[in-house]
Amino acid sequence: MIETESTDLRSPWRWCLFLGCVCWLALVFAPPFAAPYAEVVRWLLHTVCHQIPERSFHLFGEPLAACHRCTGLYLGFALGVLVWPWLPRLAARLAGNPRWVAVFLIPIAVDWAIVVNTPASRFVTGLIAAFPVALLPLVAFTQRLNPIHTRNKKE
Amino acid sequence: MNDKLKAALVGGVTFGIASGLPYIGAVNMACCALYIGGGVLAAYLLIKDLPAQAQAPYRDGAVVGVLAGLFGGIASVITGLVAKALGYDPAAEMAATFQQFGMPMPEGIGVDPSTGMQLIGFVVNIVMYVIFATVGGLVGVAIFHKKEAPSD
Repeated sequence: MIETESTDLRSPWRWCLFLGCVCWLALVFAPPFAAPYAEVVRWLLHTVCHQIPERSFHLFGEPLAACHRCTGLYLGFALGVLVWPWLPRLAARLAGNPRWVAVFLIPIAVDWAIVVNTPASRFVTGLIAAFPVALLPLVAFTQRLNPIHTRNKKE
Repeated sequence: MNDKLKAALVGGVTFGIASGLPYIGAVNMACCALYIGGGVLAAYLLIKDLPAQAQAPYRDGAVVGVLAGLFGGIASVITGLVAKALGYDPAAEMAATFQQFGMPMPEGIGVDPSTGMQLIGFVVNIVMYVIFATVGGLVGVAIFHKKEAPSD
């Protein structure tokens, strides 16, 4: 049995990470609700997203501060942080074969490469790409809290 | 210099300089590819000489990602300042890109910020770099980790 099969992802640190994700998502969704600060929020996030209005979701006629794809990525990551601790078997499988994380990046790469993509395809492929990535910091927290339990064997 | 610091320095500074360069830096608008790339490269450099292990060292990947983000963010800011001093105008480049795709320029982005806003921008840039390079470090460990063969 490999050690990852007994990894408990329910570290208290996950709530800090989830809180960070909620704050990040609050920034993304802020412009329609906080019009006076919308430009400041957009400016904060402009280095990590193109924010093209035609490629962003709109709420109350106002575009969000991130594009379809980035919104999918951020939501997928937050969802993953929340859900992975409740899927221990699946989490153990993925943590045991971490290269599978790269497989989930294929749809977003294909969607990015094809010319005719849609808002739904951009959002969903972002969601699919980020969901498994959220498992990795959770495992890192577990390794930090239980260094003896998860210590690797040296050659 | 320890291995983590060396890997983080090479990965972070390489992609940090790329982020601050004209045109190449715009790649970051595709899901922060260069920010994440810095972390991935740092994780690869850390892992390539490590022996096969039963479990991927995500903790080390996160640490090396944070460091790469810090170095990369600083390198990106310095490169951006040098490029600007040499006459490069990122707002004009962005406007040209948007025009090329027939899209309107988002409000506020093309406006030249004040010195105070520029300083805040530098700090924000470094924080963003740290966040995304950490994710890159974790992904790099997941991809490049050499798994130990199960013993009978």
